[in-house]
Amino acid sequence: MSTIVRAEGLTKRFRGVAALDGVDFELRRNGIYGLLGRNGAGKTTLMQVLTGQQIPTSGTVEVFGGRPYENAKVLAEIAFVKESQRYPDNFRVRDALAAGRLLFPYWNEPFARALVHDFGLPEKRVVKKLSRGQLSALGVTLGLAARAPLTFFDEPYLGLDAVARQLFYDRLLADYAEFPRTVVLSTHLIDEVSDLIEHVLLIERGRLVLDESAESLRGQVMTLTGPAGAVDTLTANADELHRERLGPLTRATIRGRVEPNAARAAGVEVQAVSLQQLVVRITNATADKEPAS
Amino acid sequence: MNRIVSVARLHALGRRDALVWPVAILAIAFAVNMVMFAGLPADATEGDPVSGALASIYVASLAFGAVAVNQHFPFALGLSVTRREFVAGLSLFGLVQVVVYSTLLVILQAIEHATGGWGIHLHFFGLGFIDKHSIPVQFLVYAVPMLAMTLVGSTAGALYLRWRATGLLSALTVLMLLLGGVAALIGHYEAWPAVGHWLTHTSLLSLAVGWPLLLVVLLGGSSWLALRRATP
Repeated sequence: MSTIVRAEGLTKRFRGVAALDGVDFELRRNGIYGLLGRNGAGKTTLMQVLTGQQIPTSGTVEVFGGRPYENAKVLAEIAFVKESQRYPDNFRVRDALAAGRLLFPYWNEPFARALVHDFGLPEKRVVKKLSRGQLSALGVTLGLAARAPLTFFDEPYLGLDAVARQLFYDRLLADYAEFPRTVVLSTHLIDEVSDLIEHVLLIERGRLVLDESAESLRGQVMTLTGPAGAVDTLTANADELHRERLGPLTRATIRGRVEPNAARAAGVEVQAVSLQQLVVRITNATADKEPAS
Repeated sequence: MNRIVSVARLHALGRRDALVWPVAILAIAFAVNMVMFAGLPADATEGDPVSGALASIYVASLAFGAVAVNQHFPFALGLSVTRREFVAGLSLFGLVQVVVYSTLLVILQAIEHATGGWGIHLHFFGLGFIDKHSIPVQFLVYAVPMLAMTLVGSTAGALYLRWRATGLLSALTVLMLLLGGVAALIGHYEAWPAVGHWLTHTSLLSLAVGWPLLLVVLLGGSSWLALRRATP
């Protein structure tokens, strides 16, 4: 697996406010990344910088060996579907699809046709008149059929109902299996995509606070429920993210390792934490450590 | 180059009707003029009156420039087009459009001239002075101002895209102050007769082609500077 994106000390300021603050990370060829974080954490800005739509204030970003800003060779390898994508007022659905066919070098027309059919997109309708869900479906169709080696989906599901979202996840996975690529999925619906993503990037107030494979994260964070004393002993060497009291019991969310036998012997129940809870806990723990300045 | 042609074709998408509109409006204006002139008594058209309805196609060019930048730029950049490719594609499309419309006007002008103003002394395309010139000059007199109008539109679109209403209004304010200042200076030095003399003694080629060409270069440069760092 080779590295296709490398960001070092990436910083983007808007009128003195840092939307990105010294972000370092790498993306590898072929993989599904979840770019998670709260609203305004810097997810969209990060994707805009990686796709050459924004210019970083400082730091470097290299995509397929070059800087993305005004780099036609790099951009040819990229598709970026953003929730707020604007379409010309007089464009019909079929015009937007024709534009995809014209502009994306890896575009696959039969796949686009199939997606239009699956989502029930009205081809002759003006894009402005589409419902919120249909607009998202159009974006998803463009992004999937583009088959770009590096594809970004920025909260692509807005207005999509549960059935359509599942359709998106299914089509993405099936096509990914056949035509592997690097997909970056920015989303709030963490539990829905937790089976889909292989790697988690968590961004909070412009900083990258988590960069781990989903697999290793699942074993890393857990809750321990039991008598306070026993919980304290077990978590002495772990990073405690959260603690709450339930009558005589204490429930601690920790990141680290706990010997299951020792826990059982002490009468402490160990439970795995869902990716969503994990993100909430880590985000809150980060916020507590670094109060807003 | 293929890429630039693709981006140019992007401007044709969804515009099948928009491309026909300027011609349709012109056709309607022409029909109205025909009816009006046909109804006039013979002595009213003796002075070869000129209809100003040709301006509609120039206004349409301005609207095209503004919409092409303001709406197609965010869309094209969303589909991995660079700013440079976008501007090159738009220039190509704009040029082709101006050449097509101007050629059409030259042809219609020739017909008008040959038929003595459509048989009713109607000067709709010829404007009463264009027909005295050679065909290449006619073409340029139609085309260059049309290109300049397109660029006025695209510059306004670019300013709006980059700096929103603030940018557009600031530019308009500066322009008004400049023009007002120049007019005040001319008035102060009582130079208006000199200006009139200059206008009547400058050739059509320099008035309708040379100066608009300068405007094209200036506006093209400003549009690019505004778009170079604009975000969709």
